[in-house]
Amino acid sequence: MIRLENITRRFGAFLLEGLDLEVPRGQYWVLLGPSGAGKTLLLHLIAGLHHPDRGRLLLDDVEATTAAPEKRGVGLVFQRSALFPHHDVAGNITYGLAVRGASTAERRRRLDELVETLDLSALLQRPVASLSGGEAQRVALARALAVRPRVLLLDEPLGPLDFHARAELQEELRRVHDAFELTTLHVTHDREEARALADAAAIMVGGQIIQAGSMSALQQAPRCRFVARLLGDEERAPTDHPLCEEACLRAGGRCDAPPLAAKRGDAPA
Amino acid sequence: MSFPWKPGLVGLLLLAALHLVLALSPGPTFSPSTHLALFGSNAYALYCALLVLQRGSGKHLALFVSGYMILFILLMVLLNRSSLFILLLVLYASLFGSPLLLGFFALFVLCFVVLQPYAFESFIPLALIYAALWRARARTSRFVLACLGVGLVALCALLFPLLHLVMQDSAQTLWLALKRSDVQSAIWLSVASSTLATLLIAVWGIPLAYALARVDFWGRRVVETVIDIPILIPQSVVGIAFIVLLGPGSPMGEALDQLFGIQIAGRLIGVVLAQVFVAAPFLIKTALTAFQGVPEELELASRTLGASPAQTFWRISLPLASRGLMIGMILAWARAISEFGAVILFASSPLTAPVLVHTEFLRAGATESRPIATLLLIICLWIFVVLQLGPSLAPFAWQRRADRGAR
Repeated sequence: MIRLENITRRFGAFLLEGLDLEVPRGQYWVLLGPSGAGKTLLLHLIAGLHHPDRGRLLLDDVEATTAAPEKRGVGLVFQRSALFPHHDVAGNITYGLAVRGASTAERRRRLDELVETLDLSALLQRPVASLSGGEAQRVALARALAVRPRVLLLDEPLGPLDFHARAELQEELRRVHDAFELTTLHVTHDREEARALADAAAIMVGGQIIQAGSMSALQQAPRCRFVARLLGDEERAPTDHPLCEEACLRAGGRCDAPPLAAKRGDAPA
Repeated sequence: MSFPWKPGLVGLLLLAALHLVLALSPGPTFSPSTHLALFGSNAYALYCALLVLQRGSGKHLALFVSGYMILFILLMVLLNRSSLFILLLVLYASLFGSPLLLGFFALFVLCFVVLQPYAFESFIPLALIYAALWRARARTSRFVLACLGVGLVALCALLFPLLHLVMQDSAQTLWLALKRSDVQSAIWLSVASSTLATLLIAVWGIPLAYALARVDFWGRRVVETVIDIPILIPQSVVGIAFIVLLGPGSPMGEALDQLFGIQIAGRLIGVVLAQVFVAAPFLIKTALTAFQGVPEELELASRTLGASPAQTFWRISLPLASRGLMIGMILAWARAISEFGAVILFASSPLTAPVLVHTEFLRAGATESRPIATLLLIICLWIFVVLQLGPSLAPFAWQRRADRGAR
């Protein structure tokens, strides 16, 4: 479970403000919003790479607001994999176990398990520089899962992939989520990705979460035109909501622009 | 175009007439046999010139003739060495078809005839540069080639004194110098003290560089500037500053002496201290760049996988920056061993090798100190080259081995 209570954090000119969110245990959520909405910053904040100025963060009912990243039991997959170039694939996957001082047998066992689940046996002895984007993301996923996190955070994991690898990894993500009984929060700006994967979504723009709920609830009752447009269903556009207007104003009035400018690379930081 | 027999025949006759006139004219020119040999080589050159005309254009012929004129003026008019002229002319005429060989020939003439006292030390680098340019010519524009050529030649000229120094003494003289006990101890002292100085800098400099690369604190820019101060201060000033603070008669120097019996000035510790001072910026700056080159994302990934900040430093940042750190340590080592000014003022005994070269020079002159200087040069260069090549040959090797053991 991930619970944000009134999280506020300033990054220079950018502000994450008053974020409330609860992702129940075992659910797959996406954090959906245009580029520059602050999605990656929020994800890093949950992972413990930044601490909030105000507010509380709970992970599985444990206070984690200012806990060190290594103490949170959170797995994070970066947009560009961030594999360690001086280890091979197996070394990357077992890295988390190695720093915890796990025995060789334990590492071996866990590695075999993940290799089987994610079908990595062909990659095992390869240097990471030789992996394709999709392969690298599967290894990064295995690396994050090796330490048995309760919460999995995915930062546009499908972002840099081509169509084919994207479809493949998308399926894998949902399967892994179910198999390992994870609580997953997946950052994306792609509504199709969100529809295919998620139980529920939080819509983010201008450093604020303007609506959160199950995918069907969002489809049925978008809070404002921005949400409707983000979900690709402008006909349902209701009247505007002050929360949306404020957030869009912060985002530089981007609510009126096509919300899904096909731009890669998120977050102002 | 068929071979131009007619102009060839005319040229040959003219040539024969010229030599005949010169040989018969009064005055001490050459002996008849020399004239015969000159005529032979000239005739061969004429034949080659006609071949050039047959294959190429008039431009090639003009080039051939101007090359001939240069050889002629250089060897016959200025140096008056006819036999060498005959030999080189035959070589020149034969090589003209191949630009690569012609270039080497021109360098050969330049170095062994014009720069004769410096023949070897000038020919070797120039030939290497020419070969490098020749191999690079297909891959880049003429402008870049010209920049490269001019720059490399200037660089060679800059390093030429060292090259020349190395060629001065025979191996035997060097060996005799090396057998002197004062030379041996000075070289050992230099190598040991600069190694010690480098390790001392690494102990605090690498952590400092890491911190500077990772945290943006108040006054960080000032710290980065302060690190550079030892580079810009004259070495003599450094020496005086150390003497004033720690030398005999200063409060701190006296206190250390009386309380712990430690004397710093004029001891090994003084040498190391001076070397640490002058060499530190090189290691810290290089290490800073190396750590800045390690993506912070990798460290974040390591943290989320359960590694503490210290573990992340040892397992991620340090290995990934290791090559840069190694280069920084080599630079610092080189700077430390070459330090002279601060050392001679602050710790003139025990004698380090640079100081020994200086005292030998004062005592007996340049010729006496030359073998020691050459030895020091060779040893420094050798260690420098070995250390430079070492890390580039084995990137990350030790890290890989450590992993394999775990699996």
